[in-house]
Amino acid sequence: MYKDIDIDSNNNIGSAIQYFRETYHISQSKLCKGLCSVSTLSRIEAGERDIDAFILETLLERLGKIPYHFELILTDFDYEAYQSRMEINKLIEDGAIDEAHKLIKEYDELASDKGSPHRQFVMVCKARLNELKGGKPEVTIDMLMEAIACTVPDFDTEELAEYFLSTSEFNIILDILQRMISTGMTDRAHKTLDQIINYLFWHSQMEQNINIYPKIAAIGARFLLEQNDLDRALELCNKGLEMNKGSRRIKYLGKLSLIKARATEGKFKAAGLWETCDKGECICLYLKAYHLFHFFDDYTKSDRIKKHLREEYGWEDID
Amino acid sequence: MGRYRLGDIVRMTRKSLSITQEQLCEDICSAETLSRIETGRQNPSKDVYELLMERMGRIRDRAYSMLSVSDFKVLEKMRQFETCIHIYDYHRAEYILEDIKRMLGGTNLDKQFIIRADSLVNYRLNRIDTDEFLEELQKAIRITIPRYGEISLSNWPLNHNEVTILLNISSVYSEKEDYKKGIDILEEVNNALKQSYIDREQRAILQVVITSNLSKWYGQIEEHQKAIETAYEGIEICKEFKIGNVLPHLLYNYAWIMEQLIEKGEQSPENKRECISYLKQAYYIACAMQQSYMEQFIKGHLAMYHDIML
Repeated sequence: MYKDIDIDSNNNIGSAIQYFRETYHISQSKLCKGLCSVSTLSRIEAGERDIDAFILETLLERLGKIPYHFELILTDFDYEAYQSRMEINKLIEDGAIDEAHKLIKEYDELASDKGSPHRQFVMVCKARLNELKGGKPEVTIDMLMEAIACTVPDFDTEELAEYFLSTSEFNIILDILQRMISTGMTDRAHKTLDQIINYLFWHSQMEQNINIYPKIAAIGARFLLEQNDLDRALELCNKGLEMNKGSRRIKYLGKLSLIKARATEGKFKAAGLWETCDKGECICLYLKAYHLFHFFDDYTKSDRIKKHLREEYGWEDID
Repeated sequence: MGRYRLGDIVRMTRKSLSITQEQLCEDICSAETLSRIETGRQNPSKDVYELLMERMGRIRDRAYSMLSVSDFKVLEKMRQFETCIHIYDYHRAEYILEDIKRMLGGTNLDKQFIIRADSLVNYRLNRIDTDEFLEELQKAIRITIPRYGEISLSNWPLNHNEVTILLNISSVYSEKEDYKKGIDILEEVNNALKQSYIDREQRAILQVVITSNLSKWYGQIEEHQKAIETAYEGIEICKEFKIGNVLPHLLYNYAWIMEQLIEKGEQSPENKRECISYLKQAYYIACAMQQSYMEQFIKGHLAMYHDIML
C-alpha cells in the first residue's frame, strides 16, 4: 500500500495481525474467511505491501481492534476510497438519493475488483438507498443478505459461530434482524437472533462483542418482549446492561431500561402479584428511561412513559 | 482511526509554526516539490520527510513510530493499565506496567508512554509530590513536542497520546488550584482538537472530558458565563455522539453554576426549577450509567440544597 517510501508501516500491520491472531488462537482460514485467501493473509502477515487498506481494516476489526489505535498512512487510492465512502454515507444520511446513487456507481467501478469489503460496502449502500426510496422491505432484506454474503458467504446456511465477525459485519446482520422483525418474519427473526446469541456465547472473549451487546440486547429483548417471552427478554436485557457498565456508551440505555421496566411489570402482572408487589424497582427503571429519552429529545417516548407512570403508578413527581 | 497522510502532517505542522513553504524547504527540496507533498500529489522520500520534520522541531520518527510493532504487542496491556487507573487499582496498574516495560521497544512513543505511566502510578501512590509529577509529565510531552511551553498548541496536530498527557498536566494544575493555567492548556488543546485529523468520534470523547473540566474550573474562578457556555457545549457533544460517561458531571456542573448565579442575584430564583430538573436528569442518567459515585454525590446535593429525597 505504500510504495514511494521505504518504511515498514504495512509490514507492522501485518505483524500486528499475526500477533493478535495467534494471541487469540484463531486460525488463518477462520480469520480471512470471505475476505481474502489464506495465501494472501500469509503474505500480509509476512509484510507484503500493496494490500488494500479496507481489507486490512476489516481484518483488524475482526480481531476486535478498536481502529483508532492505528493511525494509518494511506496511499492516494486508499485515501480517496475512504473519503468517497464517508461522502456516500453522508449523502445517504442526508437523503440525497440521486447524488448518492451516482457516487456509489463510480465507487463500484473504481473499487469492485479491490476486494470483498468494497463490494459489501456498495451493496449495503444500495440497500439503504432502496429503503430511502420507499422500496419493499423484503427487497432491502435480500440486498442486505447479499451484502453480508460478500464477506460471510454462507451466512444463511452455516453456523455464524464459525466466523470471526467485525463490528461492521455484525451491524449488517443486526440490520437484517431488525427488518425481519419489523416485516413480521417471526420465524426467521427467531432463527437469526438465536444464531447471534450463540455466536456471542462462543466469542465472548472478543472485546468488540462486548461493545455491541447493548445494541443486540435492545433489538433482541424488544422482539422477545413483543413475543411475550418475558424471561428471555429480561435475561437478554440484563446482559446488555451488564455489558454497558464502565463504558461511555449511552445510546441503548433508554431502550434497555424501558424494556426491563415493561418486562418486570409484565411478570408481576402475569403472576397475579401486581396489586401487592413492591413497585419501586419498576418506577426507578421507568424514570431512568424517561430521563434518557427526554435528554435525547425523544419526547414521544418520554411523554408516553410519563403518562404510564401517572396512570399505572400514580407517580406525578417527574421533572 | 486517524487517517494521516504525510502531506497533511507536514502542512499542519508548518502552519502551526507560521512559516512559509520557502522557509521550510530551503536546501531540502524545491518549493514546488513541497507544495506537491503538502497537497498529497507526491509522496516525499523518507530523507526529505525526516529533514522537513526535523527542521520544524518534530521528532523524526514520529509518524512512523505510530505503527511500531512493539506498540501493537503491548496495546492490550496498555489498555488494561488504563482500565486499572480508571478504577483506582494502582498496585495492579504498576504490576501491568512492569510487564509493559519488558515488552516495549525504544521508540519515542514507547518512552513517552512509560514516563507518563510511571509518574502517574507513583503520584497516585503518594511516592512523588505534585511538582515532581508535573515535571515528569512535561518531560514526557517534550519527547514529541520539544518546544512545549514556548509555543502555542492551538494549531498543533496533536495525536491521542499527546492529548492524554496534556489533560493530565492540566489536572495537576487544577490540583495545585492554579485553575487559570489548567484552563489555558485545555483551551489550547480544545482548539487544536477542533481542527485535528483525529477521528470525529474519538475527538468528541476527548472533548467532553475537556469541557467537563473546563466548566468546573471556570466555575471555581467564578467566570460563570464561560462555565455555563462550556458545560452547554459539552452537553451538546454528548447528545450528538451519544456519550454518557461524563454527562452526569456536565449536567451537574451546569446546575451548580446556575445555583451560584441565583445566589448572587444574577439569575432569577425562578431558574431554581431548571436547576432541579438538570440535577434529577443527572441523577437518573448516573444511575443508568451505573456510576455509583456520581449517583450518591448528586443525590446528596439534591437533599442538602433542595430538600429533595430521591
